[in-house]
Amino acid sequence: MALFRHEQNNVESALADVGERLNRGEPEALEEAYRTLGPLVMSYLSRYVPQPDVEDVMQRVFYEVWRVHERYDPVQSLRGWVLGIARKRAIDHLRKRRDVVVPLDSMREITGDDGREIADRLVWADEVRGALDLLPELQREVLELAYFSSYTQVEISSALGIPLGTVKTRTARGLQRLSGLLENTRGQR
Amino acid sequence: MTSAHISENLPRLLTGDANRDEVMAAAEHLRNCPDCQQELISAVVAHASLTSAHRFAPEIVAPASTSDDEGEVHVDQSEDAPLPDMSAMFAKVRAEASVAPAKPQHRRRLLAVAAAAAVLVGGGVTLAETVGSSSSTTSGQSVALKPFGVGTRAAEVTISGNGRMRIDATALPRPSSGQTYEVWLTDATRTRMQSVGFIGSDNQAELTVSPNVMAQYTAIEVSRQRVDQTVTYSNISVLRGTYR
Repeated sequence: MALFRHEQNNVESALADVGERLNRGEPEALEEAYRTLGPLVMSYLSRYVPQPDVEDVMQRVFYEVWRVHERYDPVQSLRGWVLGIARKRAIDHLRKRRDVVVPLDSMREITGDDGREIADRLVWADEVRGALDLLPELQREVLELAYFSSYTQVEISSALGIPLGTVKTRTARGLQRLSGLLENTRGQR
Repeated sequence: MTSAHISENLPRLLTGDANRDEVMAAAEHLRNCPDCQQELISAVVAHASLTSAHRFAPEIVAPASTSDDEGEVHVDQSEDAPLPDMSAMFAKVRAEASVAPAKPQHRRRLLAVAAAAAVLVGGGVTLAETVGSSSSTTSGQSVALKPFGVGTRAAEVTISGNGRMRIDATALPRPSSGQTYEVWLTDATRTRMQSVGFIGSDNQAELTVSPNVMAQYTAIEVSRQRVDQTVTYSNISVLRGTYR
């Protein structure tokens, strides 16, 4: 577990460091935040904002992240804080788009509890991705095949040309390790 | 506890791979085995996290899952969708922070200059991003920037293979109040000029420029810009060097 904590510290500490430097007003931190969290924000916005407008709203989001950087409390989750800004800017954008029809369901979803729920889900997914990337390749490989490609353990064994017992061992150890990483992420808040 | 530990079978229980006999045997074992109970808790956390992530945000957790002609699914993290280029906005932010961090009126002026430079010179295309001062760089091509235009001092640029450009212009006089140095890519005829960023108040800069963009130009030029100027290129260059 000590090893997990050390590894996770590398990732979450890096993100925490970005948040602290952003709070101090270092412009490089904004760019690092964009590189790290850009895919997350883009994924969230793409659910609600018409595709041609996503880039424009992205720019508004990250410029606001910079403009209000002093309000960011480094104790908070940087992912959650940035996605909160993304949600507000997306709502603003949809309300202003009177020239086109914005799906009512989309508007209702993002402005209500569902909008926050989806944001939380995406933050969680981003944490899972970050934790997966810390696993040894052999463990990550079997988990991705099992959970993202719906392979059975027998199919993984066949696809990778390894004994079924090895698949079982790698999967079990991968899950244990992933759990430790994820619980540690939460513990650092 | 009378049977062997089942930790390696826990994933099969959770994903539905296990048959009925395996599930029932596992249940009986788990009721009496604290070790496997703890392992099950961890397995559930990871299983639920992976399942939720893939169900609600597959583009984040598995952004490049693809199927080939035979239906085989591949997960390739190297094919993530590119992010929109925000370097014009970053240039504005850098300018705000480096020129007049404590003076909002200057910050607004420079923001306008940077925006104009990005739109009028670069056609809105954004190219460069500053990297942190602690970022490691590999030794790469060294380009001498010679005095040019009104310039009297030389400088040096190191371009790494990963597109990072480190500029040491400490020999230049510090820009006077209300002025800054801007870095451009240009060609032999100087008919095209693309802003790629600003030199910091310490007369140094680290930028990252896409190799594809670098390939479209042949030279680097540094100009002196007034921060309250609403034009693009000032026509006051101080350095120039050819990199290819």
